Amino acid sequence: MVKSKPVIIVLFVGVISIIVFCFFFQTEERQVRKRFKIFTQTASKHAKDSQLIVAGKSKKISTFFAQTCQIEAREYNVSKDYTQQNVRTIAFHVLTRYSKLDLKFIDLKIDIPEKGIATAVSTARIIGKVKGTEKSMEENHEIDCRLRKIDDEWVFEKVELIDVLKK
Amino acid sequence: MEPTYKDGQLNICFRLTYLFYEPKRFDVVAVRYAGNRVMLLKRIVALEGEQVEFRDGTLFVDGQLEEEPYVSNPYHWNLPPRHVGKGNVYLAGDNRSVPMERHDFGQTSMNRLIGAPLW
Repeated sequence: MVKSKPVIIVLFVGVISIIVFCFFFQTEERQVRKRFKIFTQTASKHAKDSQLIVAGKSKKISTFFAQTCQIEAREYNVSKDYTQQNVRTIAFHVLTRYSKLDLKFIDLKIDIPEKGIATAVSTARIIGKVKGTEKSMEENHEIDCRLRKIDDEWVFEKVELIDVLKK
Repeated sequence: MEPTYKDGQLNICFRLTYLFYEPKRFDVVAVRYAGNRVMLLKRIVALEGEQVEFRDGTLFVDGQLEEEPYVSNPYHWNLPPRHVGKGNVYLAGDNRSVPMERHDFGQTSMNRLIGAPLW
């Protein structure tokens, strides 16, 4: 007669291991997804936001990026490495230029190729109103990002704007 | 895609079109970004292997002038010849009354073509 107890124990341990393994990776994916959500909230601007709030938001936006982040946007000829300070300055200029700004990541797909590294592909939609003229602006960009977990926080290490149409 | 399609107009796209047919020049197509929810509506102006260029707002494919009756008041676009790569198509919108820099056009992979509007 086959001893069924050890087999059941091995199966049980195996199933538990798979569940723990899946849960671990799902958690990292969830963390990244949440990070994107917080980023959109931080990067969006409301009409009533004062310059002080904008300055605070700019500082917070820079913390979503690694000490040095590689940004590739061939369409705009701005492909280079940006420091957190560069990001903060750019964020301040952009948020100051618009009276209202809304950022959304649509169809966000996240992969965890290895522990502490995440890749994400999405369509970033930015809708805004230019300060003064109140002229509307809407842009969609496909983005391909790499994030790294540093000190328990996911930060953008590389952001590439994909040219959907290449002139 | 104005004047052919109005900005903000609701369109229904048939997603199986290119399962049955190969894309043809002057087809209007829906092009996807990442995922399937955000799309552009553009017209195919050149196919893979062809050479496309704009001279003073007029389309030339493989050096031959192509009539585009759907374009009105074209801006003076001048684009040097571009070779359309394998598996790609070259797309442009019908609204050419703006400078080239302000118009989204260019080549893209056929894998990004979601389908064609029903009307």
